[in-house]
Amino acid sequence: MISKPAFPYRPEEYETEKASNAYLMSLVVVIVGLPFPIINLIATWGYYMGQRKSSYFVRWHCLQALLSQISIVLINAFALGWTWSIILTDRSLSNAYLAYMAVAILYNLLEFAVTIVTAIETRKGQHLSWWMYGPLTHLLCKPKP
Amino acid sequence: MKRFFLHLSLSLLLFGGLWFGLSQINWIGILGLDVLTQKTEQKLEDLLWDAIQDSEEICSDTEANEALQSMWTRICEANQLDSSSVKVHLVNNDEINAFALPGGHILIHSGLVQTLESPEELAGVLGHEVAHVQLNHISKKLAKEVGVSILLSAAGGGSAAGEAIKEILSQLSSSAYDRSLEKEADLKSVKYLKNAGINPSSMVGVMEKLESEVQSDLPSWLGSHPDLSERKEYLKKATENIELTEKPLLDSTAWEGLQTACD
Repeated sequence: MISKPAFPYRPEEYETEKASNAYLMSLVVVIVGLPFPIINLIATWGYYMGQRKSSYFVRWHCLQALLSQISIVLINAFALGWTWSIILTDRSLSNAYLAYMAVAILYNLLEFAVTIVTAIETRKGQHLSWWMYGPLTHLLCKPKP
Repeated sequence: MKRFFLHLSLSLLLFGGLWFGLSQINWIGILGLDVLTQKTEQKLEDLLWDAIQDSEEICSDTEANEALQSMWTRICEANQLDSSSVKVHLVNNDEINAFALPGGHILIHSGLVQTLESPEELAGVLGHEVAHVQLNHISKKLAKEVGVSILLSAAGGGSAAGEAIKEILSQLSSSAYDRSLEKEADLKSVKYLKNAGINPSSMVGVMEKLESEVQSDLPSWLGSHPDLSERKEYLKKATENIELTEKPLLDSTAWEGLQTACD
């Protein structure tokens, strides 16, 4: 789920703080983001845009925080749409729906826990790369020449 | 890039596998969401039928009931339906109405039969109500509009049961289903009639009659009933190209007998 690959340099104190805040941003808006999943994505995107001229370490972690929101947005949006369709249309409650909600909750909890751990470790200057999002971030974010 | 796609594929596989695996568990049963068990439903069916028998006069005219039964049997045989799943009753009531109850009871008011012009039109109404039964629309409507608490209090007996039964009967007999359910039942009825060699365009005639009845009961400023106009339009489209060799449904004597059975 999380790996600790070597980073090209040791980040400064101000960099670890900014990088850690990217993860905290997604946690702060989690309450608003549950009924409106897109809010999480917008908040982390806003933070990323604000930091795109920062150092490589900050940009890398802001981008990982942003990309990690994509799957959660899709999962939660689908859960929300399905729930509304049950309330507003004649679609009935099913085992498939309840199973999906269970997996979605599990995924949300897992993402929540991993985000907290990453925020703490990044603040300490550790470079944590997530499953799937780490390799993608590595492809998209390069050090400035 | 390769690593990312490997991770993505494994993640999707894990998510899908977990979802599929958990879907195999009967969550509805474990969480007690299937409160309307078969036993409760059976009790509710009996209570509603008892209430109908107390409040309505069911026509006992043998010939009229045989005529209705023959229409129902023809629709059943042509559509591989279990004829015992539905019981059709003619009710002595001037109100233009027909509705289905849990347990497959279909009640057709004499007022409606007298308004209709042919047995084919009545077959259209019958097919529509049968479709509501076959497509499980009644349970959906009850769960959504009446609410599980009222259903349980009705089935549970006691002092609150009488009021709950009245509420359920009122919902089932006086209000329409959701548009999507009405449309589904209309189109299913078209299919039933077509398979049985009955011209389904008769259903357009039913809508026209209902529309004129609704218009005559409403102040002119309310205009035509939008749901009926909409239903008439899609029924016209669904039935315009149907070609079939019609077999007479009832002879004129039997139809007249049916129309006057409750007089």
